[in-house]
Amino acid sequence: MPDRSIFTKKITSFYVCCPGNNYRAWVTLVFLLVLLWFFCVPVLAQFKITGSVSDSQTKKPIVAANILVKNTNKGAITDDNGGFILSLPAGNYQLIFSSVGYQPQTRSLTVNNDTHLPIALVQNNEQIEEVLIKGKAPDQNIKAIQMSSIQLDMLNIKKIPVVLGESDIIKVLSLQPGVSTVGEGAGGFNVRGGRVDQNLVLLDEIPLFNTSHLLGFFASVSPDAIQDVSLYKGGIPAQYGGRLSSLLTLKMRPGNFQKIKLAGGISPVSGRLLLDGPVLKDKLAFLVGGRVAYPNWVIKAFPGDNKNNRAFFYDFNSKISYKVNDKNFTSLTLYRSFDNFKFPEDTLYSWQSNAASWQWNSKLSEQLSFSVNAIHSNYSFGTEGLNPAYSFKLISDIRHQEIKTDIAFTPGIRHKINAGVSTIGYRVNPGELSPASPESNINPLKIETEYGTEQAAYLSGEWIIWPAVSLQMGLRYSWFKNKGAGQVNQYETNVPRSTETILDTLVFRKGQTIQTYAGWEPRLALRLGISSNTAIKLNYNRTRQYLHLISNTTAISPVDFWKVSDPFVPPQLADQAGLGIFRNFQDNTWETSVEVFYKDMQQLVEYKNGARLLLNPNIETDLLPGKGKAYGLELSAHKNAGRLTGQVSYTFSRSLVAVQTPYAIEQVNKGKYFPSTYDRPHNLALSGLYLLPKGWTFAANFVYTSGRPATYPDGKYILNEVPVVNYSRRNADRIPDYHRLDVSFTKDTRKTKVQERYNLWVVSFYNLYARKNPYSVYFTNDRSLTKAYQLSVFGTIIPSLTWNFYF
Amino acid sequence: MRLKYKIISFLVGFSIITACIEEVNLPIRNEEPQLVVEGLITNEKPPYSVRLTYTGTFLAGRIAPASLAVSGALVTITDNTGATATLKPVLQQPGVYRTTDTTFIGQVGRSYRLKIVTPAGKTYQSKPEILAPVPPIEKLTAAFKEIPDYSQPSGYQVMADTKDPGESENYYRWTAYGYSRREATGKPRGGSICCTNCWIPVYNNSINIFTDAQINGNWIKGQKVFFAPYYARGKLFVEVSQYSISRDAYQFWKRFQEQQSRVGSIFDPLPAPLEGNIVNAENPAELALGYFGASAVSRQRLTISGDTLVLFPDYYKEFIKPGDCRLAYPDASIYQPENWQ
Repeated sequence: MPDRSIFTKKITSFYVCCPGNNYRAWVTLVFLLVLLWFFCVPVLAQFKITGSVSDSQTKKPIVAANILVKNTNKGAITDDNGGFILSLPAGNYQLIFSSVGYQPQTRSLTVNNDTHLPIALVQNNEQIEEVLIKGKAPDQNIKAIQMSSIQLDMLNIKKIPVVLGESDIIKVLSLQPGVSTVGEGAGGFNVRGGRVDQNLVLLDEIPLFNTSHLLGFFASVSPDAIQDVSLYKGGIPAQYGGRLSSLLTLKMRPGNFQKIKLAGGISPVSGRLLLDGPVLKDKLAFLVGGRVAYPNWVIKAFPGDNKNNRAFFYDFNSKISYKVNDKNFTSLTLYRSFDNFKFPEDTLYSWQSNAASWQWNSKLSEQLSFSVNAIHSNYSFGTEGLNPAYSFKLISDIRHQEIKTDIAFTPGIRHKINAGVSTIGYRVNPGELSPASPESNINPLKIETEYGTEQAAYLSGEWIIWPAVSLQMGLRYSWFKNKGAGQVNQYETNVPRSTETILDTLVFRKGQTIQTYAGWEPRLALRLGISSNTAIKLNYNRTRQYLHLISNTTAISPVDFWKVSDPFVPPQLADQAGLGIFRNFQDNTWETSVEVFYKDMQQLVEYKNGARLLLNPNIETDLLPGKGKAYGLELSAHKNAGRLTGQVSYTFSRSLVAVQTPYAIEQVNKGKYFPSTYDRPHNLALSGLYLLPKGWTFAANFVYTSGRPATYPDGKYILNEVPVVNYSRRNADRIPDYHRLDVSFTKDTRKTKVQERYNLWVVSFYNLYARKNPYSVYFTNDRSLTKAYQLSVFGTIIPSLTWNFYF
Repeated sequence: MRLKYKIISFLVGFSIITACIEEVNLPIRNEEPQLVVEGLITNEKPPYSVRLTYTGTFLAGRIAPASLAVSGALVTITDNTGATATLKPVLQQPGVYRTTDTTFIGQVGRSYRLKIVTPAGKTYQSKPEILAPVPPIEKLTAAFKEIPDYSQPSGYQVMADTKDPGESENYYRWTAYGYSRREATGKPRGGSICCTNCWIPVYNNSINIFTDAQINGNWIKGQKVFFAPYYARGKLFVEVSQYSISRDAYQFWKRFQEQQSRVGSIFDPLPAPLEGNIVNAENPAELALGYFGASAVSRQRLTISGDTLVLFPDYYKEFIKPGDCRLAYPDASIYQPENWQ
């Protein structure tokens, strides 16, 4: 039992930073008590079947493989080390083992004492009948406690039609319910009415601070090296925190432990290569992959001055995996992404990510395993002004360094306990301006570097109360400290903050704590099995975010920078609850679900009208506190087997924001709630794959969404002898609806199922019926007449041909 | 940052090969009319004027229709010593009010407030606006700039140099106008042809502002202040005015500039009403649009001798209209403007 006084203190500290939220302390208390109960439950006496499921070739454990005991409603899902535990009374059984990308295997078993079963599954490379996008096991959506999550099947991602043939994980995710983007060419994605910076994107546990190439047209992680993509829109496991809205985990392939493989491809804008194989067979494997883009031939076709713009990007992935022994596994991941964009004789923009992580997984016993991760991630953005009289260099960057340990303990088949601690150090340079030559008239300016530490501890338990009911409770506590060296302004009270109302400036030494924030983050999930193919699930989670992307444009732009919480910017806070009904038909051929959610967000960062954000030493004078709410209904149906596979989903959701301040000049929309820029109420998506003879596959996507909110003028006047339009209500209008159909034909040259060298040709047509989808509507003065124009980015059909090879 | 503009021009470029920009017909939503105030007091000799209108809908024109003008308002300017001037309506220009007291002159260091009582009885007041000093324009230079599109005139880019004082935070605004020569085919009069060569006035309505935040105490060099179009051989005259403006005024015009440069990109600043420093005295939550400013002014003139320029002969043909040049071009005159050399 934890010491009571500490417990009370934590509750109090939580209460202090969130006055008026007393109920939250109660929720936390109840959570703690129930969690403790997990440790006190007696283990039931039955025969224990333990085992592990691994890949027959790579010997790597298969995570979340499904184990089904035939003619019973018993089953299990393998843990992070491929292990599973079943408990069965004496008797004869048939066990079915399955996992996406592997051939299912059936084993007969006579149970009369505790048994250990090592299972090796054979990869199913030619499994073209694979599901477009689906859960990991045929009935995982019914049997697992997790809801509001999406797993992408990487096998078929290349067949999904995309712009200019660049396979893109984020574009494919945006076909899913609850995931949207601001528009074509906008960076990042929005999950259930959350902002782009509220997604925790982890590549082998490395947080990525920018997920886009070429200003937002393409994703910065090449799908070739990725084995597993999971997005959690809600019910985020207690293990993860630090972002408000979602968790996206990208797992890199470990590399082939058996033989050297080369794969690659060429699309109209980039070329890719991926090499992996063993250094020591079955012991040490490597993977090296890269992608280099050549978009300039497209840009050169631009009319006018634009043809002189130049863009370039590349990304690089590498992983080394080492099997120390049966119980220990370690790997090192490296990632680099680079982009630049040049406007001739004017400005050169560049941005890059450099990241590495080291992981150690150890299985201490059948019940207990742990892992240690050391993570480094750096994202930087640079601008060079090329005009000689004002030549300059502007740099901003963020560094994230983290160590974390996680322990998984499975005392019995009905209990699973996870716990862990993590510590992160942040260093953020919001902007540093320096003259680039002696002739330059620019004065150097550096915005103070920000330092912060974020620590977290969590405990989470999953408990199968009886076969039809399972409960998962997690509790996470996080501490954030904004640290010196730094200066903090003191402002007059009862007037808007501005440089004129600074009373005093406090100076903090290096390492001195400037501000502390801390709080509980309870997570809860409940599953009620109604029948073997129907389940009801509930979840609730609270999340806290101490890191903010400062951006006051509709979509995030490449010059946006990050900021840590400080005395003026409290952490963002969200509470989300969801309820879902899941039902499968025809032996899991059809998966259907209905989910509803409600999300409440507090202490969002908003901006004054006309805020100056970049290189503002007193940025708090331009920031305002905002709050938001989002809610929605998500319907989805998947077909998982047969020649035709695919998904239909419909989402109705809203996302609203309000900025309430006591000062009129600071108010947005008079303090009332208004739609956020990514509020798109109706969202329909259809995607499908149809298998044709001779290795051909036909794939199609159709999407329909409401137009995003926009602010249209609602009055006109003359100022400075120029007609000016007035915008008095933010986001009161909407641009027209968006819909689009894409198709692709894929030719797989494999003649037999075991052929290892083959080609994959993909011909795709993006925006097949060439709809001029509005990207934005804007108003401009043509001489003295105000006219409205609609801009479409991909207003025509975009054909492309991509070649992928596997040697 | 011009990035957002650059990005949108890139996207527009992208969309020209892949897509398009289309004009769409969208009615402007009509909200309750808001008061718009535009006024300025300077350290130059009076009169000073203020324009009051309401927002509304109108199609075209650089002058708001008379129906939107605010007539019958009570308008006064008061300084921090208590001196007050009343502004009288100007008959020919509805909505414009002007000072008549010739002894009421703006002075550097004083602060000024505008007060308006509308015919409906609402009182609006501006925040006190300090009239800050302005350094002189040290030098004007001009460089010929060729426009590749031959239907547009090439011309001289006029640039100003100023020494920024290091001891204070300074904000600048420039305006300029000039006279260019322009030819027409003329009309026969007596035995000869008359009125082929005129002087035409040229203006620029764009907002040109600058902050010394990044260059405090240094030179402001080569600040582009005017583009003098070159239609015909001959001299060009340019006058540049340099204004001191307050930080609030700078922020207002910056927002004005931003809102005017909105191009429909998702990197655009969010649209916002251009509320300035004028507040309803009874209801501080109600703000008027526009700004009442106070500025010191320094002016300098530049004569550009365009005679030495050698351009290909057909260059000028594009800009010659038929008929009497005084009728072909607005406000044109065959006489050289007075007081210019």
